[in-house]
Amino acid sequence: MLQLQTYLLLLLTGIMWGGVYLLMAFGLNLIYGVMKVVNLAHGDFIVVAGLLAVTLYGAFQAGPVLAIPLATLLFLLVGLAVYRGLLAHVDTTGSQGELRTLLITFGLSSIISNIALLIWGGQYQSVPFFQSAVRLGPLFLPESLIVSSLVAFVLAFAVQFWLTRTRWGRLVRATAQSELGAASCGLNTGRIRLLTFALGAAMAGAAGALTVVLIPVQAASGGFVTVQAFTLIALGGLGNYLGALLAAILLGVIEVSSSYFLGASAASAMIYLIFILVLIVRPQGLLGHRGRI
Amino acid sequence: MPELLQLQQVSGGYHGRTVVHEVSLSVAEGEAVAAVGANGAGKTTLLRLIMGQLPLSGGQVLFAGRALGRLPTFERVRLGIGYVPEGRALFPEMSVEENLEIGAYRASKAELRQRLDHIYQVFPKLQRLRQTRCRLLSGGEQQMVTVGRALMTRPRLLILDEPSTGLAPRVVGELYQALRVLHSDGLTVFVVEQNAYAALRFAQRGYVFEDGHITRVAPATELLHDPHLVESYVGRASPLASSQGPA
Amino acid sequence: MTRTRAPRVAITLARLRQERIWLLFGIVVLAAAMVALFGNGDQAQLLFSTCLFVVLAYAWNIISGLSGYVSFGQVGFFGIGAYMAATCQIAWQWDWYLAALGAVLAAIVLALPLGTVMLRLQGIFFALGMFGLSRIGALIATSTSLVGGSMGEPVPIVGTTQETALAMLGCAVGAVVLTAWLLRSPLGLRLLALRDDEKAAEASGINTNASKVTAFCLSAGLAALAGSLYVWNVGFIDPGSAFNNTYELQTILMVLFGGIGTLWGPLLGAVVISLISNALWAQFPQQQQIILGALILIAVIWMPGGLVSLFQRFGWLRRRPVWGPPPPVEAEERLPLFPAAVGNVGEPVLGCQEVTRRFGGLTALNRVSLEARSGHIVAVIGPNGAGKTTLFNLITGFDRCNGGAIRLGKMLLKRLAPYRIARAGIARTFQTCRPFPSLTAWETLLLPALVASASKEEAIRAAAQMLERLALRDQWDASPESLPPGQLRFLEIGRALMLRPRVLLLDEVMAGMSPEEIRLIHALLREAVAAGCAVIAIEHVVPAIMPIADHVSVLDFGTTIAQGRPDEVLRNPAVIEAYLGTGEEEPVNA
Repeated sequence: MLQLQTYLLLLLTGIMWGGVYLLMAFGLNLIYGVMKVVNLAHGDFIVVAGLLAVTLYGAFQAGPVLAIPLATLLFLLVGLAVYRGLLAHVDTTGSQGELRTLLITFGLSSIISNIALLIWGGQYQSVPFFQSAVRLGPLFLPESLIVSSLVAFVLAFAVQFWLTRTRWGRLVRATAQSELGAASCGLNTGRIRLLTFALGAAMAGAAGALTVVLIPVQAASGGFVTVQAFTLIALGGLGNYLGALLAAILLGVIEVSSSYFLGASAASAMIYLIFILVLIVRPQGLLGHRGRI
Repeated sequence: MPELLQLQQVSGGYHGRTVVHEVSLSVAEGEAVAAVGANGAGKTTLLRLIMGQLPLSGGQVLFAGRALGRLPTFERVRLGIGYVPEGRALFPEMSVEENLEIGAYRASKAELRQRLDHIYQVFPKLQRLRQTRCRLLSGGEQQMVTVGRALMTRPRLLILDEPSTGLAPRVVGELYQALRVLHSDGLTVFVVEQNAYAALRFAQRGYVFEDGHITRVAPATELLHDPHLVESYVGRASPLASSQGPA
Repeated sequence: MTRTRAPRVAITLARLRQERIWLLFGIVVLAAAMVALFGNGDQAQLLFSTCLFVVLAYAWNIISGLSGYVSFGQVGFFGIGAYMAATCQIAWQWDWYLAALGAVLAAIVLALPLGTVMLRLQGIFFALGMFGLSRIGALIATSTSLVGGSMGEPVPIVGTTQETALAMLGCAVGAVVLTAWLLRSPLGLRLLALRDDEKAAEASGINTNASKVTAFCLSAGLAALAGSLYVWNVGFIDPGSAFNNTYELQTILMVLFGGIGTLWGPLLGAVVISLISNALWAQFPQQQQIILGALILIAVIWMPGGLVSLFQRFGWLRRRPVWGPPPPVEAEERLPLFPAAVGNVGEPVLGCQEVTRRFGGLTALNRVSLEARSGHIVAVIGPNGAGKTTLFNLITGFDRCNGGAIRLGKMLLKRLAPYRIARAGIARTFQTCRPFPSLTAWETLLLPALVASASKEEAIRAAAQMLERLALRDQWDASPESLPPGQLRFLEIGRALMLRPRVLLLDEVMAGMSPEEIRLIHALLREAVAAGCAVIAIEHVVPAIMPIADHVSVLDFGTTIAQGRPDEVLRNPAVIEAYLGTGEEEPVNA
């Protein structure tokens, strides 16, 4: 009986952690889906938003309710600036095009994480909010996890709704599926790309400000977050929304159970290992065509 | 007749290699014009130059008397040039109706409805397929959606890049029948084709394209019955060309 | 005579300029050695760290610059080298040079399987996959208690700063010489070719996997060497500094800044950035990384070619073509295209039986059969989208059939890698030319010649003769991008013929060619056919191929609609209809 309870707990927390990972991978997925650019500074966006939330908490005792909108707005602007100032100037055509955008976001990642290091120092920090645990029958679940994963799943459906049911969302999907087709419908695809990048960055900001209640962050942990997020969207099939949801739950369960059975450092090695295996075995993702934006 | 589209000495190509050499042509308001030629004659490049997908290396493109310069593709579409690109460029994961709607994304609800009804009138088959994802359509159906989507932008001029590629002869016939209807309703059409017979039977005037140059311009019926047309495809003095022209 | 002297003078001058670079390099190295021998500890330490980055930069440049596989985790091999050397020194008290040797061997042994698997990935997948691997390495180092775990452990055998700087200087010189050698070796040629176009390289008979993995191992060994000397220098080992992401970042920055994929770029970049970052470290220790990140942005956006490209504008620091210039070919020693016959005329060599290929719902080829006989030319004609190029892709192994069989002689070509098919005797050209922009015309021909020839001398002779035949001798050191389309086609045909194939597949080679150019191709084909080569030519320009074709096959919508002798086939009304198309079902009345 105890055994079953443990497994149930692992499964449930795994799914919830999956939701959190999904939240953290959202912006990356959107940007890749439309622009075919992997934003290597994505994790740093999340980390900086988290550290910002820590500062806000220190200054005003303000929780995520204040930090999330602020971080979202800030990173919307950061996204606009990065696209206008950097990505728009990179020649993405030709065989070296992909490499150039990677290096640009790589350099950006280094700049951001080191500025963060100067401001916030190198220690792990968190926001002590939603600290109690919730009893669910015989199970105890931390409140922060429940809130984060709930927000994550709600946001997942909201974005899905936005992409498929609203006018702007449709135009974004159209550009993602065929840039030439979108241009031949009179769409200003350059502006859509700009919007997408800003939106992706804003999502990273929101995710960072929320998940810091759950995951302590440190200025240099952006690289790990990027890889984790990339693992998820690679597993789901780059730019694939349904796939990302599925991958998130799978990864959450694997991570939670491997850290329960094998320990924390084995769990993070597991992420990398799964990542490499996915790349080799199924580069097109779990679902292939289905569920692409 | 006023010229709607005019090309003056247009040249261009890729990576400094010129593919289209000083091409001049014109399409008058209400006209149907075809440019025919073999594979690799530079037809698609010409259209990419007209649509601003490639920069001109010489000459200029005028639409309704206005020089288009370096205007991006979407601005040209907004000016009234409907574009059916090579390879169709549909939104594969979206339904037929969604594809069409994006063509008129700036129109009001009532306007959109009206344009959709018009498309379904021209291509009744699409009405039945409106909820189907474009990825699942056959080649001919996809081509209809592309033409429909371009029409949704309410163009003054419709430009088509090899609409018959990969389609069975019967489907090609259906497609050109639809274009004929549209043209008789007053639409100006410029089509570029390898399938010379289909295009020339539809068009009023034809240009023959060889190696990036225009080598002939004549009324379509004249070109259609010209034994030399075959030569421009398969080269001079071929057994195919000497076999009394088309069957 | 004056015509030949002028280029010779230019070549001598160029060579002199090249030697001058090496002279300059020697002087710099000598000066650096003086610093190591007579300078103080700080100066020696700066020399050590600069040379460390020179070695890392060359290690990264071999895999990411020469082979085009950008890695974000090559520093992982630095860490492996450091740990291996530390283990050797702590556990077994080995001398530093033995430990270094052990580290290099361990890294290469590890890189062999890793490279084989990882190099199947492309672009971002490879880059991030390598990043993940190096993180796994760091995690393993952290969690094992063998050498200090996460806290690290002192290493007993420590060299003086001067000693280590001298050793590292030696390694840096070694890295430069290794790269210089690579760029002048067949392996380097293969790497540059596969960087430009992996498919075209396979079609030229190159085992691209083997070449990539070799480069990967060289790169790993070099990085591990740097790691082992690093441990000897600092006398301490810990996961944080052995698997240091900052090193990766700096290395990439240096190579980009200097010029990726070049011989001198990594050196320039490493020295300049090391000195800058050393100065920055003194002035702004905390902002150093930020400034380096900003330099990456600047380098990518405003200086995509790196520092070297500034020099190359004046003709300096350019890559010298391998084994050039081609030796002159005297009239009396002119050899035939094929030294020996490759088949008995009339004998069937290649057979396609009921080949079918579907893409999703579309059937590109439906039970198409085709036979090529030694010494015969088969023309395959048909309109756009008829499936002609798909057929070639199936024959050459770039694509797999859904049904049917393709045989070369008695050998079934199922699941054979494209390079094996090329070596077995099927050469091809591509519809749109796929040249290697990094190679000269001469090297483009040399590449397959080295595959087909028994010795280097023979390959050089064959390639030189082919240049002569293609009338490209004066452009031997031209980049394919500067050749006019006709000559580019010649080069592509020449590249295929250098394999001395039993079957030659030509994909629309005569489109857009002038009559003289077509005559030259005919002459080549006649000679190939006389030696027993079977030719299959896809053509649109029918008269260009008809005079020499023995058999014609017409494809439309993936099926063979007619085949037989040229004159018969071309009178077939179905063929004419397929070619020009019909809009309606009823025939046209001419």
